[in-house]
Amino acid sequence: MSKARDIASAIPAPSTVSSAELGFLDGVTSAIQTQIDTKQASSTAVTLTGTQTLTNKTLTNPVIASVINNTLTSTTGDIIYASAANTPARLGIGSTGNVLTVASGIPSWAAPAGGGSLTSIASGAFTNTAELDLTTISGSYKHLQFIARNIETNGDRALRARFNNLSTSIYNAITITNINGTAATAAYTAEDKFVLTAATGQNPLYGPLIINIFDYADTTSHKNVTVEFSHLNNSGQICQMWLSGTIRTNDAINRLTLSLSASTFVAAGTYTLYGVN
Amino acid sequence: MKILEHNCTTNEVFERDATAEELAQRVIDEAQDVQAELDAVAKATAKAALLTQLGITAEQAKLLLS
Repeated sequence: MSKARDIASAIPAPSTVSSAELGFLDGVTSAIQTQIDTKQASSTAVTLTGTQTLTNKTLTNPVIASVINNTLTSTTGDIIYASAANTPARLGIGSTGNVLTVASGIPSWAAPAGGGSLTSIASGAFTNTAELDLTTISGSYKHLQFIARNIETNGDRALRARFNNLSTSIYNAITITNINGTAATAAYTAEDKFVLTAATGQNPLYGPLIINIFDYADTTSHKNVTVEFSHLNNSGQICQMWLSGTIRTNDAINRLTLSLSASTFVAAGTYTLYGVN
Repeated sequence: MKILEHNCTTNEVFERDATAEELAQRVIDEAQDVQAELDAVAKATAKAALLTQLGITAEQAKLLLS
C-alpha cells in the first residue's frame, strides 16, 4: 500500500476527501509544487520550445502591434517605408544608377540630377575665307561657349566678333590687353562689333580663343559676353586679351560671326561651338 | 570674298560668296580699322612729343603714373 491509488481502493474514503481526489495523487513522488515548477519556471514567464502556434495572444511587454509581414518584401531590393502614419509600404528597387530621393513626401528612386554638361553643337576647321559664320544656332541650351584653337590670319589683321549679323551700335565692352608686358585698357559703349585684336601688331597666331555667351536664348534681357584670347602676334610676342561685354539686344542669339578687317584666315585652326547646360 | 558658313542645325559646312550687305560691311570695317591705326599713330606721336617737351623718358613717365 505504497501508493495513493492503493489507499483509495483499500479503505473507505475520508468524508472530506473522495477516492477520486485521492486518485489524483497517483504517481506523485515528491512535493507537488516542486514538480509543477519543473514544468513552468515561474508564474508569469512562458517558455516556448519547438514549433508553437499562438492564437489571440497579447504580448504585453514589449508591445508589438500589427507586426510587418515579411511577405511585404516580395522582391530582392525592396525597401519598407511608411506611406502614411502607421502604414508600412513596399518600395521596389530602382534602376541601376538611380538614387533615393523624395517626391511628394515619400521616398522614391530616380535618376540623379544632372551636374551640367557641354554638348558640341558645331565643330570644324578654318579655311582661307574672310569670315567664319556659325548660323542657325539652337536655343536649347543655357549658355554658349565658342572655342577656337590655332587661329591664324594672313597678314596683320584685326579680328572681330558679331552676333545675329547685327552691325549697329549695340556692343558695349571693356577690354584689357597685355602685349609682351605692356598693358592697356579700352572701353566702349556703342561699337558695331566686339574688337578682339587691333589691326596692327596683334594679328593672332596659334592662340586659343574662348567666347562665352550667357543666357543666349533669353528674350527678355541683354546678353553678357566674356572673351579670353591668348596668342602670339606677328612679332612673336605673347599677348593676352580679356573682354567683358554686353550685346544690347533682347533677341536670342542664333548666329556668331568671326571676321577680319581684311584678308583671310589661314586654313590651320579649328573651332567648336558648345551648348552649356 | 568667301565666307565659311556652318549651319549649326543641319551641320552643313560650305563656302559661299559674301552678300552685298556683307561686302558693304567689310568696307566699313576696313575704313574703321584704317582710322583706328591713324589714331593710334597720332596718339603715339603726341606722347613722344609730350615726353620730349617734359624732358623725361617713357620709363620715367611710367614711373610717375605708377
